[in-house]
Amino acid sequence: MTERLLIVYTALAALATAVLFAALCVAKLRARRRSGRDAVLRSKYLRILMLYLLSGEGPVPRFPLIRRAGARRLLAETVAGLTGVTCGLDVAPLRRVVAEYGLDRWLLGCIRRTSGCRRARGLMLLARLPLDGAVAARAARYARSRNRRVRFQVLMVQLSADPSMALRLMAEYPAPFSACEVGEILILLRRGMLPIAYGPLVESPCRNLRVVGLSIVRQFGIEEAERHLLRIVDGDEAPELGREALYTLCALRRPLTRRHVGRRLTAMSPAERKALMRYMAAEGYSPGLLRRLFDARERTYCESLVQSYKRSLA
Amino acid sequence: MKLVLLLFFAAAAVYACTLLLLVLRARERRLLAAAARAAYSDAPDGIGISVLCSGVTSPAQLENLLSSEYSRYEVVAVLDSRRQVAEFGALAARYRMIRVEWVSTGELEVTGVRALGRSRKRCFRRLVLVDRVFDGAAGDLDAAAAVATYDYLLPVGAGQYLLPGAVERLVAELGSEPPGTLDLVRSHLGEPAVLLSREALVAAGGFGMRPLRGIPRSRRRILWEPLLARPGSGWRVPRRWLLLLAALLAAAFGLSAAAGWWTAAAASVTAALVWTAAACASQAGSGRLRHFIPLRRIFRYY
Repeated sequence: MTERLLIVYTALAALATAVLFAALCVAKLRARRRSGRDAVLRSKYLRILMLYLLSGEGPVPRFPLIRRAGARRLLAETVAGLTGVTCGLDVAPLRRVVAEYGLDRWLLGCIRRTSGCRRARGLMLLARLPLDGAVAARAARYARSRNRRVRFQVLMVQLSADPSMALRLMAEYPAPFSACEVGEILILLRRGMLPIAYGPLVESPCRNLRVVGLSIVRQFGIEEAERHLLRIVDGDEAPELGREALYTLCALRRPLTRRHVGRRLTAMSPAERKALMRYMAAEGYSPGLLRRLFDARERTYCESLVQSYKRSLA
Repeated sequence: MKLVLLLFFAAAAVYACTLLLLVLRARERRLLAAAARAAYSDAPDGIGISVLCSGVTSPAQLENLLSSEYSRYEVVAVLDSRRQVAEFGALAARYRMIRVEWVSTGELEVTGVRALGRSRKRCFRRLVLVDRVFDGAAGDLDAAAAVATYDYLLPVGAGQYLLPGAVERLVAELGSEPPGTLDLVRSHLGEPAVLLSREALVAAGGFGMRPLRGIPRSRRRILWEPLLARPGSGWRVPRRWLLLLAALLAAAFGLSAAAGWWTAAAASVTAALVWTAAACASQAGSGRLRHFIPLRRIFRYY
């Protein structure tokens, strides 16, 4: 019996070794073949696309070796990269390239065949292409995926396909945005694809919209939003929102000697208060203000922090 | 006896395949994080990372550590200006350090600090230089942590270089959870790397008190991908020896299978499977796992 088990194990292990070895050889060969070819093709595609984008009209150009393995992904990546930096230019030529070569349909096919992070990566590439609503509708089937990254990239596809629905889409997103997800939304915003109207976002009762609004205020240094920020700092919503608003006030270097701020500080844990002190010291707040904000036990800590940014000349 | 050997071979094969699966999954995550790398610098929650260096005097290594484009990031280097006179002087001149006041914050027990310098703003504003009497790496790291600005600390030793995108990958991992829920992110692959929260370190009492032990499992995360690398270290086995070894394994397997010695055949095929899985993992980890890492380095500070 043991002998038979040994034979079965040996056969299975040999098969697994052969499969792994074959996969390793294929991966090495593919990496070697693509390392040289891809760089050349990418620069060629970029040049052709830029000329077409600048001319703005005419028939869709032909791309060399587009039928070769991996070339279509290369073209999709080049179009996506270029779409991100076409500030002020009409992306209609790029849209025509995507439609002519069926890049969106091809990517959707690839996405269907993959799963997990690989699917999320495909969706991320799709979201960076100039898209229409039909593609977003086809990508929506993954909105209920178990993988959080896939769900978020579906939202990004929908946002880039129809920016006018951004508020509704973000508000209806079922999970709270993580810090990195908000960063990705802000990139869309900086490309001019989403409106920078921070007011409705900051005043919204939806947590996700508020976080995006606070990020806009911080990114663009909108000092007029101080009143909204103080209201959030003073509010009884999720503590992380109040904390985020407080950090945003610090980033804007606004005066913090307000009763709203004092109330929020008392609600924070000692570790959070210390983190805020370090942030304020790095932002250049004066020791006088820190002394007024924090109690006697924490005063020594914040004074030593501020001192570590100064040199006593006397 | 045969049954015990069979179980041992099977366990080794399962372990190698599981490790390979973990590395492959981590590779997909790394590629996704690399594709979204630009987003993490704008992460609004202000996840900050302070790199703590003890014994780092090489200008090339410091430049590597300072080269991360992540915005909330700094490097705190601790040197003994009396033991390493030339290196300290060169660093202070190269980065135009401004001497500032050193006052202990009282969070950690720090002794022997002579001076503190910060690099000039708008030049290399992320470098903090601590002049301290050297009495061990743990003391140096405590001194660095005491002046660090950010909430997450990454200790780095001499010769350990950050791999491209490592900081952003760590930020992505921290940012994928609600703020303050992770205390430890570590990687055993490549050069072992440990990112731990400042609060966990302060609660433990410093690097000398084995701070990792007190962190609950729910607040830990392991990344199956290399974050730090040591260029040119480890043993590099020449290719011809590898080919010879592979041929020997194949011959041993063939002969033992032909002769019906199934235990020997299982042993040789298990060795081949573990080796192939390791090669695949190395390929998936961008070829950074080819060096053998001495186990003691993993537990150096902790």
